[in-house]
This record gives sequence, structure tokens and C-alpha cells, in this order.
Amino acid sequence: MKFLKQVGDYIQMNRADFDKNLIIHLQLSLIALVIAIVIAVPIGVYAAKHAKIGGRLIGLFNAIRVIPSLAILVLVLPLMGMGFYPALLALTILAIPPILINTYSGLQQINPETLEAAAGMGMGNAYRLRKIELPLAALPVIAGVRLAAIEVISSATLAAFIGGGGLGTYVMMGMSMYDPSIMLVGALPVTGIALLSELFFSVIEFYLKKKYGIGE
Amino acid sequence: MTNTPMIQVENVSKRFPKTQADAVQPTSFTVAAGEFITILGTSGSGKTTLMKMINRLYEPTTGTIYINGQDTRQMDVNVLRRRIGYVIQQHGLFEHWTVAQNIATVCQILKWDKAKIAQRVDETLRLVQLDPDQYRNRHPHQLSGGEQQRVGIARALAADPDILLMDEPFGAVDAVNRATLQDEIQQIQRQTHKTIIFVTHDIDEALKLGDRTMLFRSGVIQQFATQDELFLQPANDFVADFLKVHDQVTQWRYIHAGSLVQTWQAAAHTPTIDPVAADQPLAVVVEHFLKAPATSVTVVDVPHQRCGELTLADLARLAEAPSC
Repeated sequence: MKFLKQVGDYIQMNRADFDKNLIIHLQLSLIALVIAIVIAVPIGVYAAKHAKIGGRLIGLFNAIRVIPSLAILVLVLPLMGMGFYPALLALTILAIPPILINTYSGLQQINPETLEAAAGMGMGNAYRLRKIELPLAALPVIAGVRLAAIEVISSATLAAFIGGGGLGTYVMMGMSMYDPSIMLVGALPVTGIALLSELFFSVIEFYLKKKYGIGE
Repeated sequence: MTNTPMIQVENVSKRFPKTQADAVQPTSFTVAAGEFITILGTSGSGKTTLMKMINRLYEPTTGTIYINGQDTRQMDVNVLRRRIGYVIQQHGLFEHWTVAQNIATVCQILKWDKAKIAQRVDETLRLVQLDPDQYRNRHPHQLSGGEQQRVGIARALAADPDILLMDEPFGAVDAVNRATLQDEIQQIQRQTHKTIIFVTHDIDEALKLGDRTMLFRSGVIQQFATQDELFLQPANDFVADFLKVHDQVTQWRYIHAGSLVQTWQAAAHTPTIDPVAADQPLAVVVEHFLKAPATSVTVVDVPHQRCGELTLADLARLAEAPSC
């Protein structure tokens, strides 16, 4: 409780600075996620439609997934230096694989007979993708975005290490000052954001399932 | 128009890439408007391939298919398909859509207005014996196998196509429901006069439903004829063996009483004593002989207003037929 009070006091005293870092953290996470979706979903669709190249693409992105987030952040350094944009790039790279892989497998899971029925009824390719395939793959895709969101929100903490700012700033500061309460000023809101993001995506999943009539 | 066949298949063959043999060898046949034909064959016989060339899910390697006299290859493939109802075995319904949305698929593509679609959904649901109020908003996975197939048929009928292609539609349905569905599709065909091409591996189903049945094997039509012709004049040994045309019980079950009558008389002379309808199987004639020994049983052909006699000798002649 003593820590909590200190955290509260610290935030009160450094309100402007805290708000700035909170907003940077949210911006980093959100923008990285949106860019990742814009990039990953089309590539996932392409991979699912082209079996040969698709398999290799997925293998490649699975490999990227293995690289630890801090390593990606640091790898971006020599390319782009320090700051917000290098951090954004690193986080985007982190967020792509789960979304891409889930888009791919979500589309692959659709029964080929369903697709043939759609074609047999005279749906063009674009119409079929929009009305049948993407909606049927929506749950796996959202699960991928959910996973990517958690990864991005937590890794955005590390952005402070390459000068990207965000709530990680307080974690770094607290570590160098041996002050756990300052570390918590960063850690607690990050935890909160992560939980809120989980909640957000479970609500979306809940309504989608309800719309599709899955699980009463 | 009556002279133009609904479907005309001319020298159509299909060879898939990287295969040595034709899946369907050059094949020609015609189907008249309003005809219900069944294509019977084992899996791998090429029967489904043949059917899928009609709505160009497979493009023929050679030959031409005409629908209402129009070369299908000259038509936009999606426009063609929207004019042909298509029903498949399973997994054909879109799981994320309700029954109503599923049925409205083609109407939506064709951009019908909302009220018209809603009305058509209810109409087709009633046609397949499902209560619209009860089923409209359900999802496919909330339906039994039989109900799913009914919705599949309703969906195929929704945009009122002239032709219905059905690829083993009742293959995954249990026997009791299958019989009901068969009766219903027959009923629907009589009501709507659709031209139906129905692919199945079930002999009973093929013979029961088809005005004519095409027996297909190794990419070749073995025989395309009515039930009585298949049994009385099988084209080759394969047809005879496959349908067991020389088996007495099979004969009694499948051959219609009318087809054995040699001399018909105008119906005015109909004797009233317990006749057998011409479209009843021989088994009914046999039953008559067993119940009340007689020299002959009267067969009446109501549509043609005529009648004739069958004797035990007529039945015996069947059994003597040389097993070729």
C-alpha cells in the first residue's frame, strides 16, 4: 500500500510528463497494431491463396516470431537510430507474425466444399473473399490481433531503451534509481492497458460469436 | 423453344492436368426441359466431374455444352452459375450466415430488393417443408443434417433457376430422412418443373428419382435410359451386373408392371376387379397372384387411358432371359 501511495503521489507531481508518456505508449501500440493489420492481413490472404509461396512465407514469419522483442528493438537501432519511429517499426515487425499466421490458418481452415458452393452459386473471387472467406476467418484473425496487441503493449515498454519514450521510461528510471515505486509508475499502467486490451478483444469475440450463433 | 433441349452436351471430355487418362471421355447427351435425370456411378467414375462441367466449375477439355441453345463458354461464368441452382452434399451452407441469409445468397448477388428477398426466402422455406418463422433466423449448425440439406435446396431454388445441379445431396443424411427428402425433391420438381441433374452412387435413389438414369463408369456413359429400359434392355454386361437385372427380386422391385404388357386396349374396356397401376413395380403384380390365384392380372395405365393383362407366363419369361 505504501508503494501504491507513492506511485499515486509521483503521478500527481509529474502529471504532464506522465500523460505525455502514457499517450506515447498508447500511440506506439495502437499505430504499430494498425499498420501490422494493414500489412499482415493481405499477406495472409495471399499466402492462403498461393499454397507454394504461402508455405514459405509462413515459415519465414514463424522464424521472425522466435526473435525476442528486445532483440528486434535493438536490431532497428543501427538502421534508424533512436526515437519514436524506430520503436514504431520494431513494434510493427513484432505484431505482424501472429496476425499473418492466424489470417493464413483461419482461411486454410475453411472447408473447400464451402468455397466450391460459393463459386458454384456465381460469386466472383473478390465478393467471395469479402462475404464468405474473411468473415469465416474473422475469429482466428481477431485472436491473432489480440495476441499481437498484448505483445505490442508489453514490448512498447522496452521502446524506452531505444529512446522511443512511453511508460517504459519510468521502468528504466526506477531501475537506475533503485526506486521500485517509480518502476511501478510505468509497470502498473502497462498492466492496466494490457488488461483493457484483453477485455476489448473478448467483447468483440463475444459479439462476433453471438452474431454467428456459436455457443449459446 | 420446346425443340431446344435444356442442356445439350456435345463431345465433352475432361482430362485433369498431370493425369494420363480422361476423367470423362468424349460424352454427348441431351436433357429436355423439366426432365429429372440421375447420374449413377461409383466414386471415381467421373460422374461428379461431368456434372461440374455444366456450371463450369470444371472447364471441359474438349467439346461444348449448350444451355437453352447457348454455348456456356460464351457466357460470363458467374452469370451462368447464378442461373443454375447448385446443391452439394455437406458443408455447403455458410456457417456465419443465418438460414435466411444463406437462402438469399444469389438474390443478394443479383441485388434484389429487400422485401422481395424476404418474401422469396419464406416461399422457398415453405417449399422445402420448413416453417419460415421457426427457421429463418437459425444458423446452419443449429440444424439437423436433413434440415441443412433442405436449406441447401431452398437456397438453390431461391433465384428461380431453370436448372438444378445436385451432387449427392442426401449422401450424408440417415436413411429415414433420406427417403423423406427424396419424396420432397420429387414433389418440388413436379411443382416447379425444374430441370434437375442429380448425381448419386445409390442405385435405389437414382432409379427412384430419375425420369432417366445415366449409368456412368470410367468416364464413359454405359447407358442412359429409363428404369424399365435399363432392366429390360441393359446395354452391356456392366449395366446388367451393376443393377443385377437378372436377379428376380430386383426385377420385381424395379420393373414397372406397364412395361411388360404386350397388348394394350383402350381404357373403356377396363375390368373393374382390383387392377394394378402401370407405374407400380412387378412386385405388386406378384402380390396379386399370391393373394388370389388367377390366370391374369389387369394393369391400368391411367395417363394413357389404356389397360392390359399380365399372366404368370409373362413373369416367367423375365426369369428365363439369357444372362448375357
